[in-house]
Amino acid sequence: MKFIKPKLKLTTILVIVLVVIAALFPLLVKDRFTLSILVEAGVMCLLALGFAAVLRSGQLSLGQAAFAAIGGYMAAIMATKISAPFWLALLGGGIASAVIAFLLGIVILRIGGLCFSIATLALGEIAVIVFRNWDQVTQGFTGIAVNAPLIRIGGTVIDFTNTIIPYYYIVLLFIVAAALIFWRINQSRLGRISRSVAVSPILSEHLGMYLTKYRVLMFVLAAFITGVGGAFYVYYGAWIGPTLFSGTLSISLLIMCVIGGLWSPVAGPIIGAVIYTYLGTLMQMRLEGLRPLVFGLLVIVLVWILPNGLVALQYKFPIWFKGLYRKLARTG
Amino acid sequence: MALLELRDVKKRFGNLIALDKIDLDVHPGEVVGIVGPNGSGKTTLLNVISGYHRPSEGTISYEGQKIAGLRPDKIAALGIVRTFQQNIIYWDAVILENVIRACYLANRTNLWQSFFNSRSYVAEEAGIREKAVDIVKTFGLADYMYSPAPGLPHGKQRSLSMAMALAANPVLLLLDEPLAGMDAAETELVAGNIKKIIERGVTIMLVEHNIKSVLRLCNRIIVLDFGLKIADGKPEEVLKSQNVVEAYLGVD
Repeated sequence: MKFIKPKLKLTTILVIVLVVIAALFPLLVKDRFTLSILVEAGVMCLLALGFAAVLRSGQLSLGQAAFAAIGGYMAAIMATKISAPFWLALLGGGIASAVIAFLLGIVILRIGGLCFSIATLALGEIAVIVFRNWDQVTQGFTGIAVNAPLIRIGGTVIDFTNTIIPYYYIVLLFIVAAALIFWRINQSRLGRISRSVAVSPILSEHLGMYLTKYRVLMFVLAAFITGVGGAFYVYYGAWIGPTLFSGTLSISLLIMCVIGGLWSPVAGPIIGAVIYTYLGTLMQMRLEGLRPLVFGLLVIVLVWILPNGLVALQYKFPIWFKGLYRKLARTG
Repeated sequence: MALLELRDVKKRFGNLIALDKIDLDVHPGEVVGIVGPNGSGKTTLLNVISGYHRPSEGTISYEGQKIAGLRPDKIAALGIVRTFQQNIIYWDAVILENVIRACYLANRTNLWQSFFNSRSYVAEEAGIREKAVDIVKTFGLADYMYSPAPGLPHGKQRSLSMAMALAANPVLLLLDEPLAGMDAAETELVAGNIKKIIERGVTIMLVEHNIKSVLRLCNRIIVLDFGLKIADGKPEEVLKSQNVVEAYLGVD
C-alpha cells in the first residue's frame, strides 16, 4: 500500500493524538459553556484556514467575513424557502461563496496586492449593506431564523436542541477535512506554485505561471470553506442577520493567523483561532471593557517574542531549553 | 527563417519614446549583444519582447506567431525566458527549491494528480528534481544546493537566476545586464555560465555595459541610442562605425 508509510513521523503521531483528544473531549468535559466556546472556535478555525490559504498565495483578503455571511444567508434561505436538508444547505452556502469569489477574483486578482485588499474590504461593507436592505430575500435587520438540523443515523434522530455535542463533532469533522485538504495542497505542486506566486509574482510570471489562475484558485477554495463554515455557524446560532459576520471578523482572522503563525498553512490558523476565541471569550467575561486593551498588549508582546507566531515554538523550545533537550536526545 | 522578428516596434511612456521603429531579426543560435548608453531603451526592448510591456505599435513574431501583447506566462511557455537586472529570486527557499520552482513549465501532470500524490506525479517530481540538481551543478552551485537564497553573494545569486532561466527550457533567452556590479572573478564565473548556456544551443539576447564581455560572448551587436537602433552587425564592424563612436564619445 502506497498510503501507509512504514515509519510514522513524530508530527503525524502528535496530530493523531490531538485529534483523538479533541474527539474524546465532550465525553470528559460536559460543561456546555466550554463546549460552546470550542464550537465557535471550530468555526473560526475553518475561516482562518481559508484566510491563511489566500494569504499564502500572496494576497491579503480583508473581506472574508462577507464570504461567511454569503454562505450563511444562502444556507438559511435554502433551509427556509425550499426546506433543504442540512448537508445540502451547507454545500449550497459553500458554493454560493465560491461563485461570488470567482466572479470577484477574475476581475481584481489580475492586479492583486493592495488593490485586492481594498476591494475585499469594500466587498465586506457592500455585503452588509445588501443584507440590511434586500428585505425580500434577507429580511433586513430581522434576519432569518433557522431550525435545528434534522439528521438521522440508522433510524435514530440526532438531538440538536438539548445538547451541542453533535455540533461539536460536525465542526471537528470539517476541521479535520479542511486541514487535510490544505496540508495536501501545501505539500503538492499547488503549494509550491502558490508560494512562488506570493514571493515573487514577476519572476513567477516570466517562468510561465499564470498568476491570476492560481490566485483565483486559492481565493475560491478559501471562499468555499469559509462559506461552509458560515453556513454551519448559522445553524448553530439558529439565526443570521447583517450583524452576525461583521467587518471586524475579517480583521480578527488576520490576528488569529498572526498569533498562530503567518507562514504556517494548517497548524498556525487552527492554533491561532482556538486561542483567540477561547482567550477572547474568557477576557470578555472577566475584563469587559478592558478586553481590547489587554488583548492588544498580549498580541504585541507575542509578536515581539515570537514574530512567526506560536508554531515557531517548535524551533524556539530547543534554543531555550538546550541542555534539557540534549539530555532527552541522548536518552531517547 | 528568423526565430524572432520585430517590425516597426515602438514603445511610448506618455511623451517619452523609449523605443522607436525597431526592426530586428534574431536567428537561431545567435548571441546578440545589445549595448547603448543609459536610458537608450535596452531593457525596454527586453520588456517588450518578454511581454512585461505591451508595444505601443508594431509587430513581434516568434517562430511565425505574433506575440506582441501576449501575457508573460504565455510567452514563457513558447520558449522565451528572461532574467532581470536585479537579483529576483525566491528568497523564501533554498537554491535547489528555487530551481525546482523554475521547472514549472516541465510539469505535465495536473494539479489533481499532484494533490492525490499519484504515481505519475511522484515519478515526474523525481525527474524534475534530478534535472534541477543537474542544472545547479552545471552552474557551480553544488556547494550551495541547500543554502537559503538570500544569503548568497551577488555573483552566486546571478548564477542562480541564470540557472532558473535555463530550468524553464528556453529557446530564446533574454539576459538583462547579467554582469552588472561584479568584480573580475564574479564576471569570469557568470560569463562562464553564459557560455555553458550558449553551448546548449540556446539563442541569446544580452543587454550589457561591459563591452569586453560582450565582445567575448556575442557574435552580433546591436547599438541603441535614444530608442533608435543605430548599428547592427558583427562586433568589430559595429565598434568602428561612426554612429556608435558619436553616441558613446560625442564628436566635436
